[in-house]
Amino acid sequence: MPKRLISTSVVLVAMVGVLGVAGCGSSSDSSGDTETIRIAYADQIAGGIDPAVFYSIEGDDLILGLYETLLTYEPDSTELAPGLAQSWEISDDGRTYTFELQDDVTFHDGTPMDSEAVKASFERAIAVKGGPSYMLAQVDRIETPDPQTVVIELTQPVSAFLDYNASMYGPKVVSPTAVEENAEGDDLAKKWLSENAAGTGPYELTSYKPAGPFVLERFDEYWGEPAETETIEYTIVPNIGDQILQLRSGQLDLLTHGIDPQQIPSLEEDPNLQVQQFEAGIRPVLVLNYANEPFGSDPEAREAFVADADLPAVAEQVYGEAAAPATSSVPPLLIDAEDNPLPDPGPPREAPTSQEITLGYTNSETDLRRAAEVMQQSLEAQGWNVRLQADSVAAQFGYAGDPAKAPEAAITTLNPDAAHPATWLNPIYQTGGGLNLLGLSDPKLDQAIEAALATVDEEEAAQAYAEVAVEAASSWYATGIADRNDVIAARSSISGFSHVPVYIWVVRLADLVKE
Amino acid sequence: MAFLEPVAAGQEPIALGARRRLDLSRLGFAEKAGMVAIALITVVALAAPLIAPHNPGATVGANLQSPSGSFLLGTDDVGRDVFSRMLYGTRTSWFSALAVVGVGAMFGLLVGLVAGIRGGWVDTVLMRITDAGLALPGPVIAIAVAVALGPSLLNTLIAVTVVWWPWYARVIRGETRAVVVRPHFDAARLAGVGGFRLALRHVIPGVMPVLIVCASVDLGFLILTLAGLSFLGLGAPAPAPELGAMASQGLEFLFSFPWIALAPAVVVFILAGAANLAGDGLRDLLEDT
Repeated sequence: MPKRLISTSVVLVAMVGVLGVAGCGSSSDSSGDTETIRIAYADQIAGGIDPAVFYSIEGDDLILGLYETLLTYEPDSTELAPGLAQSWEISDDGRTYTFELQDDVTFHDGTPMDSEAVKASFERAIAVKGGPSYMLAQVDRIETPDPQTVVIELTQPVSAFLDYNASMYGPKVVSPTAVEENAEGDDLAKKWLSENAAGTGPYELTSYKPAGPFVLERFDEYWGEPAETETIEYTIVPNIGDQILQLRSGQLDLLTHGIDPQQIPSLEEDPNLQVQQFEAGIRPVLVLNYANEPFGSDPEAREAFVADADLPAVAEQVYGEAAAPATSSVPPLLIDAEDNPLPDPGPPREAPTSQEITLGYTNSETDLRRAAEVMQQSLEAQGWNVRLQADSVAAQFGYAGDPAKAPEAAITTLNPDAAHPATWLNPIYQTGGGLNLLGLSDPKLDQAIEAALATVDEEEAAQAYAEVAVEAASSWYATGIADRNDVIAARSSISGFSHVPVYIWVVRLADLVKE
Repeated sequence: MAFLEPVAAGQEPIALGARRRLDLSRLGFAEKAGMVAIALITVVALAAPLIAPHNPGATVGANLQSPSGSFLLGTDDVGRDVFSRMLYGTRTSWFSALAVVGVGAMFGLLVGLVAGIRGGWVDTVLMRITDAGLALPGPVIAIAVAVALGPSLLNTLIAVTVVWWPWYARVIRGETRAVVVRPHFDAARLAGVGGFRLALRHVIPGVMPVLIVCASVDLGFLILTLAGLSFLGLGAPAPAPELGAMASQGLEFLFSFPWIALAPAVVVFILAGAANLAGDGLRDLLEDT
């Protein structure tokens, strides 16, 4: 018997020792390697890194390090800036876009980039029909009058087309040589590109295992400013608590997302760490299921649910000063809040149904778990019968496959694909939209969205989208909870943070410096 | 008292352990402490709704408050009272472990008894099934079953019970085989005592002490297993107060608000440790009397 007590005590002391070492490890950087920056991901990249397929959030900084779009945005801004296209023109009817490409651009495999490569990449993205392919849905034909010029003809004006090409999900230019050499049958090299890369970006992919690590090395023939740091290494650390421990101990250098707002003060107190916050179009959103009951057929139930959920109180409780309660239909980066205010759902009232409501939330985001728990309390106080369900991001994207079987309500984080309201409203509210997870289908709204997209005049398009935003909000389909910042935590030795508001969870890898 | 006296046909045997005296003076301090702790834990678990100062699921204060007079173990990241959640979590963990052990032990008892008494091909088939169950990694299978059934406390308990009974079946079968070769069993069988009565009056009294000891010693490991599954998100969905889930949710705050994760972790340690010590004590009490 004493042996059992001794062995139990030994185990306890060992556990305390390990904890102590882990804790003490926070005081210094355990890696003296200034040529490698280590970043954590919480999960594998669902679907792989084929830029024509990828439509998640975690993984975008990696993809933007490997591939480039024709346009981009200025840092800390939604102003369009040259990418692989150094200049562009739009015809008066809004249907013809002419892009002049950058000079002397080479793919990672040595193939020179030219207009034919751009054409092939766009046509591949259309054929693959991935999540981002909606951005090319109106492309009629692509001409290549010379190696430096690409002319894209659209079937109709698309007010968001330039922003589509600057989007972090925008069509990327992929080496046609790599596609041709690695295609299996008619798969357009999807299988190969899911785990390999052939872009023009400042980094090239030197190692990729689906479960990590992913290793990027500086591409020495990059056409622009070379990357500051030689190597970027991603490892998968599923739990944000573990990520923070590893950041404190120096095993990781940078966390680009997942930081709970309540963690910020503690992280800022650590002299070896820094926290950066950037304006971003990140919105936790409450989505109601239109494909099943009670919300599919009862507008009063939808309104009552939103009223009883008390979203402003949820925002206050969960985010405090780290986010502002949502007051507009669309994130204010895209349309001024006063032009598309959220309607008032009215005061809290008794639940109109006793049906059990399953409220799903993204399991990898602790703020969403807290939001769900706080919301559940508010709802149950009004007589709703609410059961919480933790789902992965992949599972939430899977709702769209059969929304009738999905939870009756869900909380998820959404972000606009680019700095244009079309990239919020179209994917979320349009029938069959890539982010229309829970079965909304409103022909009238679809028509309004299409009409706004096809508006040539910039000001008229903005007005049209504001009206669409107001109409969309009245459906209570996807109601914003808060407007959050991007929160990045890093070792103090890291600098060179370059952030675009609509590239969420992304800092430009090539600008990062480790001292 | 002799372990069992051979009796003439038709006479009832002296039931094993029926008049066993439990001599507590044989126990060491640790075992006694374990038993006292188990008794206290049971009282606390039963009385949790009366003891807990707050509703474990309600936001009752600001988030992440330090321990104070109002909140003995502070509040968590949703403003809930950690102490109240810990009490309810203890209740859930303790009674869940008892339920799994009880059901698993009873099922294992049944299988072991049938195999041991019937022998022959029945014994062979049942024991091969049992061996297959023992060969599989229990916690991994429990996780797979819980995931397949969906995250809920009941499904997790079912999953763990499914992988837990083989051990008891194995032990009981062994003890049963030892009992059925004794003269009193033969005498009863020859006297025409039926299968069910044979098991009830002539075998179960002999194997129950072993079963009780196994179950009690097993409780500690089971508590850890259930807490581990809850930590992985396979228990009752949030915001249910479960010790493992509470530790998991508190992990990211370990170095800033440590009480959120440490309080439930310490309780799991105490539960498992007390169960182990009490089980050892029970074994010492029931052995060799």
